[in-house]
Amino acid sequence: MSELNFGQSSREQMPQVQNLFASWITPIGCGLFLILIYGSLGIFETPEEVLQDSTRMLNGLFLTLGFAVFSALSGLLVGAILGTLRSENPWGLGYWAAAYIEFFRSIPLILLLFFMHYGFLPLLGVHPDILVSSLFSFCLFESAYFAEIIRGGIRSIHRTEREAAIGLGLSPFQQFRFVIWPLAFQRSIPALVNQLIALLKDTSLASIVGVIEFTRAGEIIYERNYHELEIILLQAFVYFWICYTLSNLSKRLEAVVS
Amino acid sequence: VILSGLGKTIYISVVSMGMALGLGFVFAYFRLLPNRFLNRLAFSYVELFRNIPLLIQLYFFYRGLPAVGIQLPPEMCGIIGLSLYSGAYMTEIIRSALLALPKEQLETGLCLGMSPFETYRLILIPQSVPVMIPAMTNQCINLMKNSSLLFYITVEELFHVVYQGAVDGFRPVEYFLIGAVLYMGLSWCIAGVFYLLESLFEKVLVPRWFQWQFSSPSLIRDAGDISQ
Repeated sequence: MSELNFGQSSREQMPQVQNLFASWITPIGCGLFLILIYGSLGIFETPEEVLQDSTRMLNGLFLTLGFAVFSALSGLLVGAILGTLRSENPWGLGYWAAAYIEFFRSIPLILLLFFMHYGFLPLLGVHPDILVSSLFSFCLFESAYFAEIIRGGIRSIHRTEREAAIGLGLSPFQQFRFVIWPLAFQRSIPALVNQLIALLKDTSLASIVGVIEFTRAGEIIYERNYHELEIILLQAFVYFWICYTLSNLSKRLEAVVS
Repeated sequence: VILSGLGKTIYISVVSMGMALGLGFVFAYFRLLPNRFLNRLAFSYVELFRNIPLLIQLYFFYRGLPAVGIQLPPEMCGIIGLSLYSGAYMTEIIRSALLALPKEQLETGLCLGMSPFETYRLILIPQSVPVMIPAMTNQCINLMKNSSLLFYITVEELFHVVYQGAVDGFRPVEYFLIGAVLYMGLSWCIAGVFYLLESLFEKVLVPRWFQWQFSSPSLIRDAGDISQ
């Protein structure tokens, strides 16, 4: 094993690097974001502008995070139901769930965002706020992915575990409530965190339809002062930090679960 | 008009798929090497491009770079951004497929006096290709879907055409449904092509590859016989 390595030695080196990055997160990370946003804007703006623009950026950041959390929770709820339907197929509903999942997994997210806001919801006579309609489409889109993950978790449950649940005299609903869902959920946590990262990255697409989240907030600023490169790098850094922290978290969870 | 957009989407997806695959193989090889610098380079490449949203990367190429004097045509920005973004995912896919191989494969190759690159090219990659294809299918479908983001940097691909049609004709529902159907068709095509490729690789190409590579009279002939 002297010539090539199959990841062992690099895995030994990596934890230090990861800890170095990960240890910055909790309190220091928040302060760091503040300093970074205020400081980097301060390079090319007057104090009043810095205050205004950094509040805008921070509001955008909070909106992004809130958006991600809300759509993850609602998507997870819908996804759990759909995944269960698809894997169990009660009364033939599994086919409908499968069709739903395949449909939403094979169209791009922006198409869905535009379709929801300008096509589908107005057709139903609803004219919601752009934030509401994009949250709705995120919920639909991500629930398809979450459903596949939950279905994988349910399929990984061994026959004997189900038989044990039946043997205990649990009703079908109780089997799911007490045995299958907790196990499936626990096993799919790493995949769910990975999907959460993808979701967080996808929230930047909501800026295209006009939700003023982190990407759009920066865009508003650099459309005025023409410092594109600096602000884009700042945004990239902030996104990177959040997603990298989450992906380290998912690696750790993977180790804990397995 | 929609067909031209479809053609553009296919063109962009295929080109960036090829580039992403190339990047993936190169950086997966770097991850395998004991060289610390290349290892770190590949690691940072993967983590950097996987953890930044594609939209921000596209903005960087399309709006950030002109600020320092590098102006690329939008289509090229899109292709570069897409291939770098998907290349990071490809690297991880190829690397995990390689890690799934037994270590003896590598050791045999090195014992036979092959260089690390020869081992990688002749022994490791051909065996792990069938393993990595399902994950690659997903990634390529994602790439094709992500190419719709290029509409925002003024590339006239499928979604751009659909969006223009919806705006000009005041018929959003019809146009967006057509777009959805076309994107679904494209992803099914990709899935089908990769399914065929998988069976092709598994049954025909990989065994032939070993026969062809190891048919020359040399020391490594024995390795060829073993692996069949």
